[in-house]
Amino acid sequence: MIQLEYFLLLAAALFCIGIYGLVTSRNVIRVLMSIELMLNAVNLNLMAFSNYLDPASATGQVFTVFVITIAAAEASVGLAIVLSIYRNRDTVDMEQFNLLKW
Amino acid sequence: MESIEAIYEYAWLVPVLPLVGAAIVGTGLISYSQTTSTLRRPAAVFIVSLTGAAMVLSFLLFFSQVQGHETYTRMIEWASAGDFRITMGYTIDHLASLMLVIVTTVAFLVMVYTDGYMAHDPGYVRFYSYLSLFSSSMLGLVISPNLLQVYVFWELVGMCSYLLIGFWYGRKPAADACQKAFVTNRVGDFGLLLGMLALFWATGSFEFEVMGDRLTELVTTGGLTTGLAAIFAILVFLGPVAKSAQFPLHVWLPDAMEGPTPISALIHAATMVAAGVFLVARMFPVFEQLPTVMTVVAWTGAFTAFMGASIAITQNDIKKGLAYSTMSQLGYMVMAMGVGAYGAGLFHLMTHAYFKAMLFLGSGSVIHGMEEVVGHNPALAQDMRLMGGLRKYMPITATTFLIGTLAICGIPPFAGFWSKDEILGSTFEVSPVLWAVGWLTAGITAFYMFRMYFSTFEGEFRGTNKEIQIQLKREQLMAMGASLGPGAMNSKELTLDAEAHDDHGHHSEVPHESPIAMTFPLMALAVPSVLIGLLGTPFANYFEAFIHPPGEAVEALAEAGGAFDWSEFLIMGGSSVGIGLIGITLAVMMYRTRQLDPSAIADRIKPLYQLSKNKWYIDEIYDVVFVQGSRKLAKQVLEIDVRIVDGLVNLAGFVTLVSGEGLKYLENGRAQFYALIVFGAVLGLVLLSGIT
Repeated sequence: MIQLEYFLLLAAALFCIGIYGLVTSRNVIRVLMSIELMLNAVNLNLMAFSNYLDPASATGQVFTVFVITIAAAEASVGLAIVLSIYRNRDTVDMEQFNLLKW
Repeated sequence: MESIEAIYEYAWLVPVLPLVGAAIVGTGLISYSQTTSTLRRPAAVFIVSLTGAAMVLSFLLFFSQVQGHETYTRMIEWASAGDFRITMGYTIDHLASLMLVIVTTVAFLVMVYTDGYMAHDPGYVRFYSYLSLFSSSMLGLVISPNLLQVYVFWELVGMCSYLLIGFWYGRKPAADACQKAFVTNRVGDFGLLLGMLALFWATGSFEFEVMGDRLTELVTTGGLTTGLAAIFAILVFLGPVAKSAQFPLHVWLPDAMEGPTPISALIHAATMVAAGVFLVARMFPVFEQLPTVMTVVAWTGAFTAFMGASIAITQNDIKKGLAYSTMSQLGYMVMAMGVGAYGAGLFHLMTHAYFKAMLFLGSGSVIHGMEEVVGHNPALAQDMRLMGGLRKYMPITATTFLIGTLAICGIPPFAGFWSKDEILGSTFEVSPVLWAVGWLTAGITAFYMFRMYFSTFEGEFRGTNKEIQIQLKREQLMAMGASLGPGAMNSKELTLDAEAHDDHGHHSEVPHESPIAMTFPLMALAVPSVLIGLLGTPFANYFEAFIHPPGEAVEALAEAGGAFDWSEFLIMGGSSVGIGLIGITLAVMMYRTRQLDPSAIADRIKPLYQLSKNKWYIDEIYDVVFVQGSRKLAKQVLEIDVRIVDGLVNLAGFVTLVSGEGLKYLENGRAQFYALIVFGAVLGLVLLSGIT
C-alpha cells in the first residue's frame, strides 16, 4: 500500500500549479482549466484520506464523484459566461474584465 | 350597625364624587367648549352639590369615628411581581375623618363663594372643574393608607395647584408664578420620592406604621445606622417643606397669590399647604424615633414662622400679607410636629384652616369691592395703601375679617388662641429657645394682622386718591420693567396701556358689599373660627383625646388631661396673650390713632425694613444662585456638548471617510488579484497557526 504522504504531496503540487495558473493566466479558458486542476487536487486528498482512515468503505470516492459532477456543471456555466463576455467585448483577456471597481 | 358599615363600604365615594363632577364638566369643556361654557349655573350647581354630598358623607364618617368606631381599612392589590406587592385602598381613622371634614367643608364654602367672586369671569366653568378636581385629589390624599398612594395624590394636588395659580394664564405674573410653584415643588417632591424609595428599600413596606416599626428595629439591631435613617427621613420631610412652604422652599407660596382668591383660600391657605403637615403627621411613627429629624423639623418650622411673620409686616398687597402669614402659621404647625406635639399641630391645622380660609375669602371680598373703584388691576385693587375705611361700605366682610384677625392673633376665646397656646406650651417643655421664637412670632403676628385690618377697614377711604394711584402704577411699571429687562418695551406705551385698562373698569366712587354668595361663606366660616377652639381647651381636651399619635395609648392622654395645672396654663396663656396685646397696641398706635409714624420708624431701622420689604432677599439670592447659576451651567454644558461630544461624533465620521478613501484602491476589479489576496491570507493564517 502506498503511503499517504505521496498522495498529499501530489495533491499539493497539483494545487499549487492550479493556483499559479489561476493567478497568472490572462486567458479566461486557462483560468477555468486551473480551477479544474485545483478541484482535482482536492479530490485526490479526499480519496487519499478516505483510503487511509477506512479502506473498507468508499466514502471519499463517492464524494469525489459528486465533486466531479458539480465541477462539470460549474465548468459549463463558466464557459457560458465566458462565451457571453466574448460576444459582448470581443476578448477573453482577464486584464480587460475590471469594470466592477471603485 | 348595618348602616354604619355601609358608610364605610362606600367611603371611597368621598373623593370619587368630586372627581366625577370634574370629569363630566371637564369632558364637556374639551368636547363642546362653547356649549359647556354657557351652562354656567347648571355646571356650578352640579359640582357644588356633588361636593356637598361628599361633605355629608365625611360628616357621617367623622361622627362614627367620634363614637369610637374602629379604624376601617380596605385594600386591593394594585400590582404584584413575585414577592413584590403594591396595594391601594383607603383607610378611615380619626385623623383621616377629621381631615375629610375640614377639606370638604372649606371646599364646599369656597365653591359657594366662587359663584359670587368669579361671576363675571369667562373661565367660570373651567374654574369649577379645576376646583372639583382639586377637592378630589386632596380627599384622596387624606384617606391614603400608604406612602405610595399619598405620593400619587400629592402630585395630583400639586398639578391642580399649578393649573389654578396659572388660571389667568394671560397675565404674565400668573404664568410665571405657576411655573415657579411647580418647579419649587418638584425639588421637594424629588426629595420625597428619594426618601420614600429609600425607606422602602430599608423596610420593604410603604405602610406608615410598619415602616416606623421596622426602621426602629433596624436602627436598634444596627442593620441601619442612625445617620442614614435620619437622612431618609429628612428626604421625606423635603416633600412637606415644599408643599407647606417652609424655608428654604417657601418662595412659591407668596407668588401663588396671582391665582384667583378662592384658590388662595382653599389651596394655598386651608388645605393643600396643610398636606405637608398632614404627611408629617402620617410619617410620625418614622420621625419620632429619630431625634435628629425631629430637631430639624422643629427648627425649620420655627425659622419659617419667624421669617414669614417678619416679612408680612411690610407687605402692602393684602393677599401677599396673608400669604406670608399662612407661611408663618404653617411654620407653627411644623414646629409643633417637630417637638412631638402631634395633637397640637393638627389642632392648629384645623383652626387655621377655618380662620385663614375666612381671612382669604374676606380679602377676596375686599378686592371684589375695590375693583369697582380702581378697575381690574391687581396692583391697585389689592394694595392696602388704596383701601381704608371699608368697614362703612362692607360691614359683613369687615366683621368677619376682624373675627379672623382676633383668631389668628390668639385672643381668647377665639380658635387661634387655644391651638397656638397649646403649641407654645408643648414647645416650652422641649426647648425654651424654640418657645421664645414662637412667642415673639405671636407678637409680630398680632401686629401685622391688626396693621392689615386697620389699613383696610378703618380710617379714611383712599381709593379715589389719584396721587397714591399714580405712585402705585409707577411702582408696578418699575417692577414690570425690571422683569422685562431694559429696552424690552417702551415705558410710555406701557403707561398708556395701563391707563386705558384702568378707565375700562371704572364704575363708581365707593366700594360695595359683596353679594350673598360671597358673604354667606364668610359668615359660615366665622362660626368655627370663634367656637372650634373650645374643642381643644387644656382643661377639657376633646381634640387630643380624639387625635393622638398612632403609637400612644389613649389612657395616658386622659391622665395627662386630668393633671391639668391652672397656674402653668395662666402663665403660658397669659404670656402669649400679653405679647399679642403688645403687638395690637403697637398696631393701634401706628395705624389707628397715628401717635407713632410708621415711616419714621421704618427710616430709623432702614436695613431691617429693607430686609423685610424685600422678603429677606431670598428671591434675589435664588435668582443669582439657581436661575443664573443653572443658566451658566447650561452654557458650560453646551460648550462641552459642542466641543467634546459633537467632536467625537465628527471624528468617528472623519476616520471612516479617510480609511475608506485609502482602502478603496485595493478594489481594482481584477478577480485574479482578489484570488491572490485570499490565497495569501489563508497561507498567512496557516503559517500563524503552525507557529503558535
